[in-house]
Amino acid sequence: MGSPNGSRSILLTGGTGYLGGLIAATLLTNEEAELVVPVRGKSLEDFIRPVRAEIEIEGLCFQPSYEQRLHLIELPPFQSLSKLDQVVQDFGVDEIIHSAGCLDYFDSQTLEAVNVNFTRSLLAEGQRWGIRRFTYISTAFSSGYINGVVPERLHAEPPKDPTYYTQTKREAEWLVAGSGIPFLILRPSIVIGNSRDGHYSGKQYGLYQLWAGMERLLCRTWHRELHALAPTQPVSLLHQDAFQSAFLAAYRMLPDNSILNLVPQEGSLPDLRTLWHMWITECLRPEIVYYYDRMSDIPVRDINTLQRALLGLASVNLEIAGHPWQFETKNLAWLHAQGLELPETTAASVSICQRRFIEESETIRKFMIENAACRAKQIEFVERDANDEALAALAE
Amino acid sequence: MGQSTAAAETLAPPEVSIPVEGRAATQRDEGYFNLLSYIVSNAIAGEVMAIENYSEMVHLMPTVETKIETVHQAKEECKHILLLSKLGTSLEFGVARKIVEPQWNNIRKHFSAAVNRKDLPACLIIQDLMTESMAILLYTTLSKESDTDAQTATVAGNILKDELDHLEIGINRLKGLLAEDADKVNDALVWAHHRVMPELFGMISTSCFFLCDELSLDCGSLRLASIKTDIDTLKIEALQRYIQTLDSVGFDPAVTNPLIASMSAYEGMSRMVLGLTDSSGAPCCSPQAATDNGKCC
Repeated sequence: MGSPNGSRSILLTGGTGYLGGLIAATLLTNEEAELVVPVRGKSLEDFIRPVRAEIEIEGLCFQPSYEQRLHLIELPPFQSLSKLDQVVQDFGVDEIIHSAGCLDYFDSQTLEAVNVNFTRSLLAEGQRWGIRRFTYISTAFSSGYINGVVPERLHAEPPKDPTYYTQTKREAEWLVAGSGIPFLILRPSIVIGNSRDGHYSGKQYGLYQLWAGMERLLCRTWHRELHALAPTQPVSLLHQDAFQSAFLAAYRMLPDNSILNLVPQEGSLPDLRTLWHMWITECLRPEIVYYYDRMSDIPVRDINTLQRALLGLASVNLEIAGHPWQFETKNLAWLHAQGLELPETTAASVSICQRRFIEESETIRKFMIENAACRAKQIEFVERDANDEALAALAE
Repeated sequence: MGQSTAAAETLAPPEVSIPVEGRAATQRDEGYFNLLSYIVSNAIAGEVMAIENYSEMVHLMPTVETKIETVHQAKEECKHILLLSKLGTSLEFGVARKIVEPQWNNIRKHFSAAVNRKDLPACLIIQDLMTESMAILLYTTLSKESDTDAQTATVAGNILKDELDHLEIGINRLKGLLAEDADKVNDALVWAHHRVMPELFGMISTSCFFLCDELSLDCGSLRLASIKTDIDTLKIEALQRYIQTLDSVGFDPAVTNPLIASMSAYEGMSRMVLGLTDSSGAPCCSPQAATDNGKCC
């Protein structure tokens, strides 16, 4: 069959996921390549719907040619990827973009199977297929918890990993780099909604896990007091439109065997305390808020159990967000020098995403109406340390 | 069940006073009784499992007094089965007096594994903390007369008292063990959590594997609104109760927080298998998936 227009043909894994969908939308609108997307039990119509939505939200038209360039195929078992031989040959696939991954921190078997073993199998087939480049979507946190700057190179074993997820992504990076296939490794940080209108089609994860947790646990009844783990540590949130622009620039311009820490500019980033503050003032409005820098400072056995549950459910992500991450950004700076412009992540841009989340929530709307009389006009913010001393009272 | 049932009948406490008004007096519709049939049958399965668990762990108990106490706990679970069965008879809904849903057998299997390696903390955590916490949630829900009916509320209230006692016994036993060897008890908690909690939370549902077939019920017709609650409320209450229980024992939040965090995935909240699964949400870590060292991660 070959590529009808003679352009490159790309095998895109994870195309039905959040980042994979964004990548598909980006490639369809900016490149001429055919996209061969292995999926399991998904119709073309179902696949296209979110991709089309992303394209149309950007004010573009979903062209008929986009659909013609999309080729969904059944993803075989990971140990039988050679079943793709014919498809690869038919479409002239010469690149792989591997964005499939398991992000379920606690499912060790699936993390190992998808992030490590699937990647290993795909690389082995890629070698056999004569792939000219393998692009791997990793994570900014694949270094694990290390002191100092996270370099744009492969990581050694850290003293501690946030989760088994980061460990498996680091292992996969090593596999990619050691495969002999020219590679590009992209390491996005926490991807959130669009910077302009806040739309977000990903799962409730990262910041959205915290928001969804607050919606679900704290918007059932009004809380007079609130205890929050809120260190003044900037959180590396990356808008999805920034991810798309940076992906495209890196895909087009970075030389083979590059690693890109795909993170936002640090200067403007809101810290975790600001994120809590935004939600508290917009939605919950308790009378008094206690801020803590460390989980161990919070008297968890003495606080409201719904708040305790939220802190527990979000504890892993709050720990990751509270770590003082610093990233090398040489490659991003180089891309900027080539003309790449990225929307910044600021408190204002995150508040657009937050507002959208709140507006789309029936639970929150109901909470606000039913608790209109309780929600405090003035909120007292109190910083607490391990000795349970009020260090400062910050009246709003 | 013939002979064993007859033997168990002798355990029924005469002092429990339950209003017997029959179905008509409740003024509830068929859907309500179908839901009770489903819930009570699952509760009986939990009680059957509890009898087996308590019986199996007797020999691990360190003193004669605690052996007797454990046997007494098993006996009380027998009583609960009889009370629940009589409730079904009185209100004319069917009950299955056996374990039907596979989750109970899975929990039994893990409990037996703990018994076989003489891991008393794990046994206490599985039966007295985890299972009893869920039982307390169940019977608390059923004991609200305004949401159920007088007879069901009374039966549930009576059983609830026993289950609260069992929880208290377990908490006190584990406090003692925690003081003796915190690392061992913490390891047991991690091991048990990743195996048992997904199973227990998986049963907070109105869908099933086989139970509705067993009871000749339309699985899709069961509505928790019949008892003025919903799945989300029950799950949150279950989460709260479990956390309260862990805190009551005195477990270090540094140990329990990651376990609680793992529960966000039980219901697909953070299902993140990008592009490789359907949208139904896979459980975080099935008991089968947990590794031998007791950790999912």
